[in-house]
Amino acid sequence: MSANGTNGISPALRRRRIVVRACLVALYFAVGAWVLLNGREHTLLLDNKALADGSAPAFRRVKVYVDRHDPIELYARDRDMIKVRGQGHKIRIETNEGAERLEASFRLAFGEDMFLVSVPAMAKGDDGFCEVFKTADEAPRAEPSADEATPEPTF
Amino acid sequence: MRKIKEFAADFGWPRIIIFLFLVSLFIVAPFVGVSISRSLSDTLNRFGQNAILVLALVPMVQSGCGLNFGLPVGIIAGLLGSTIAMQLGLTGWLGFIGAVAICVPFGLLLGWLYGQLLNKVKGEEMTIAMYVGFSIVTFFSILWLLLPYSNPAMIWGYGGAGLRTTITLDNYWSKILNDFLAVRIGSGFVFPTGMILFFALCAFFVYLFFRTKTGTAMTAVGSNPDFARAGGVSSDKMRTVSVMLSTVLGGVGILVYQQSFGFIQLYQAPLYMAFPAVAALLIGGASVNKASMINVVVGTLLFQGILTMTPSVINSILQTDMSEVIRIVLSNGMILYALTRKTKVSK
Amino acid sequence: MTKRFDFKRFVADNVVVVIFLVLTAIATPISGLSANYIIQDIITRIGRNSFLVFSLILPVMAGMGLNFGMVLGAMAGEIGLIFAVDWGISGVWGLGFASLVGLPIAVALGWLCGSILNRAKGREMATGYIIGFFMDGVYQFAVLYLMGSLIPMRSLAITLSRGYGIRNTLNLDSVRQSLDNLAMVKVFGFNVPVATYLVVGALCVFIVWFRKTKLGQDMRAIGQDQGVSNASGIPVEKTRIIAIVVSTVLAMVGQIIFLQNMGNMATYNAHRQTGFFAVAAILVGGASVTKATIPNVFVGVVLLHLMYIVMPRAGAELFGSAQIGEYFRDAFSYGAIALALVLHAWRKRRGVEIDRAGLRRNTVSPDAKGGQA
Repeated sequence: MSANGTNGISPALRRRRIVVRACLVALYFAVGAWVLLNGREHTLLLDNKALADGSAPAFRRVKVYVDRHDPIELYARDRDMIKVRGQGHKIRIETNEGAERLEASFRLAFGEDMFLVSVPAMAKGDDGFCEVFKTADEAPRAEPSADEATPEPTF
Repeated sequence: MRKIKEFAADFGWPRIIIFLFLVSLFIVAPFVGVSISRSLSDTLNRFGQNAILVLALVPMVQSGCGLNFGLPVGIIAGLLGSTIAMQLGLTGWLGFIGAVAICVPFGLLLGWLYGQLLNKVKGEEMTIAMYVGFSIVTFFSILWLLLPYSNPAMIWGYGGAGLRTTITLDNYWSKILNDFLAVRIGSGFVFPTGMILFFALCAFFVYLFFRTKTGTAMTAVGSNPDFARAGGVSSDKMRTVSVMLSTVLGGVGILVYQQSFGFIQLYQAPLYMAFPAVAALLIGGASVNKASMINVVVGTLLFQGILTMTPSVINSILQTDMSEVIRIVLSNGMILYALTRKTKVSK
Repeated sequence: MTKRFDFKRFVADNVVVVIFLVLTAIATPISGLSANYIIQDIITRIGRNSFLVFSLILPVMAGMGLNFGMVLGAMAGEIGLIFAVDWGISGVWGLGFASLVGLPIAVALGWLCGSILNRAKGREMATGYIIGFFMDGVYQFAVLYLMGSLIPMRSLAITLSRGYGIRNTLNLDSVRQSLDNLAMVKVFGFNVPVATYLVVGALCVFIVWFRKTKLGQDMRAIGQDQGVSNASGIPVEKTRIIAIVVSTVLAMVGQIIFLQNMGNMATYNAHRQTGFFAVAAILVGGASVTKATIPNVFVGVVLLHLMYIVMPRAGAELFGSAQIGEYFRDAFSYGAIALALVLHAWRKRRGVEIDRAGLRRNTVSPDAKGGQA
């Protein structure tokens, strides 16, 4: 029960204390970033529609596996939603119809909430099968310049 | 210069800031379209409405029982007074005086019990008082539902059992003190003479009481219990008297509040009523163990002034309703300041 | 010290517990609720509430009474959850993220609270209570006016339509019961949220361990006698602040656990009753202002919540009005707090008087000091 307070501390001990504290702060931010990246929830819209350019038709029936989630069954022109965490994901499909590719990995941009995953595009081998999807009420928020230019709307 | 500094230290910086804040609100008011005369009138009205509740805290502070967070005990006595007077069908002056007359014995009884309790827990009065207040309010919430009141103006229309949450005093004694000898100046300003007079009367009685032998003995018990005991004063008895006085004043205070407000508020309404009163007293310059009539008047005026002015003025400046936040931070900040100050001085 | 069981003495020492036991024993059959329903509800509520109640133990150890300032921690937890929802961090990750965001806030608030309490020695409880009120105003200012204007908010779903401020009710769908459902196990037909219980268990271990550390010993010494502790070189003020900081941080985590179970959050009211519930629970469990143990927490949570479950129904059955039941339970909870505080203050005074008598005669056994350890 001695040597309390910060007065009687040797320089070596003080240095060590600073190092330890700096490490703790660094650890805090590291863990924070880890949780932030891994816990970030994104919504995937799984879309089974023919591509606009007609290069790939919709599947009549397809089973979609995203990561380890339960499979989702899609019929032609179906769209379903799945919530995933983190940025790196795997998608796999099972179907009786022909497909050039059955499995693919993709990454999501951290800052975006919603993505549209086109199953036919994925099956065709397109790498841009996953694109950002914006809902109507979110669109103006995405352009900060517009926010600055116009005053806050008062509803 | 030095004198000003001393005065500031003595009066306390928070109070000076609050005072300046209020003054600046009044200065700004005309520029944002807030009528000064109406504001002054509102302030005076709210002053009269709340001042006796603040006054009720003084005896217990003086006798060393601390801030009476158990003010709801007195308020309950007042509620009993007004509800019973209404039940008896008393209206007008008879109603108000009847309510006071009924409230006083209840206040004395509850105050005596409450005082006995506080004497057993010296040194821990404030937290316990708070919870005694909460307990009695919730306990009486049950009674308001169960007691056999039957005046149709008071009970729930449909079930027929239990009192309403708010009872209007419109045909009874609403505004009876406010309107007594009220002076109307200009369009917006009304001086509620009767209510202010009534407060002055109560304050004068309390002032006189502290000049009597009992009153000085009470102050002695509060400021120096050992010395008082050596002088043959029973500290327990003095404390009990102070609690009874405080409780009765609390009852009368809520009656004045009700007649000005126009409604009797029952159930959970009195739960937190002690806190604004305590804040007002402290803003007026009282400490945890010393309070005077000046503190009551100054504090209530300042506090109610700010409560009246912030919604209108701040809202017209900022376009948002910040008054609630200001009220919470201001009143509780003031209580905190007082609670943390005494130790520093006594150390 | 004899260990002979003295029934009268036991009742006198645990009068609050006994009153609650009797009350619930009467009210439970009247309520007509099935045993299964009650047990399931109690299991859920232990998981939901006990962490919050645990946050009170350390300040009691340090002699600072019941930390009503714990609501500051609850507010920190709520701010963490707001950010977790806003940034779309979901599941247990979201809870972890909320705790991480809440941590520095809770530490800062706890430090502030501890410093204020150091200036209000002898009336920590009343002061802590007012600090809670005061900070409620500050919280309201931050959440209602700063968030969305000064503090950037991403989600339109949680901000008010005027552009800034958080909505009155925050939907916690993304983290709802994520901890509870992490490992929900059926035991004898009851759903037991094992993960939540493990977290609470870990906290118990932490508290047991903490008591044995140097810091824990210091706290207990301060709780016994500040003057002596100071003389023996314990940094009293600093240790008291640490006790409050730890308590605030625990309350922060506790509030997050509480809210993830509830599934949505009343942004401006969720913390108002937190202190009251936690304090009532620990006192009903037989704790006093100077002594609180782990069993106190569990007994208290079970008893208090048993009453909260059965009272409205009992009131409805007995008086035909659930409202009466609700007033009853509130009255008894407030009454329990008041009674426990009164008993403690009264015993302390009796203890002082017996001490005085002991000084005169030196023959009083320490046992006669009325259940103070």
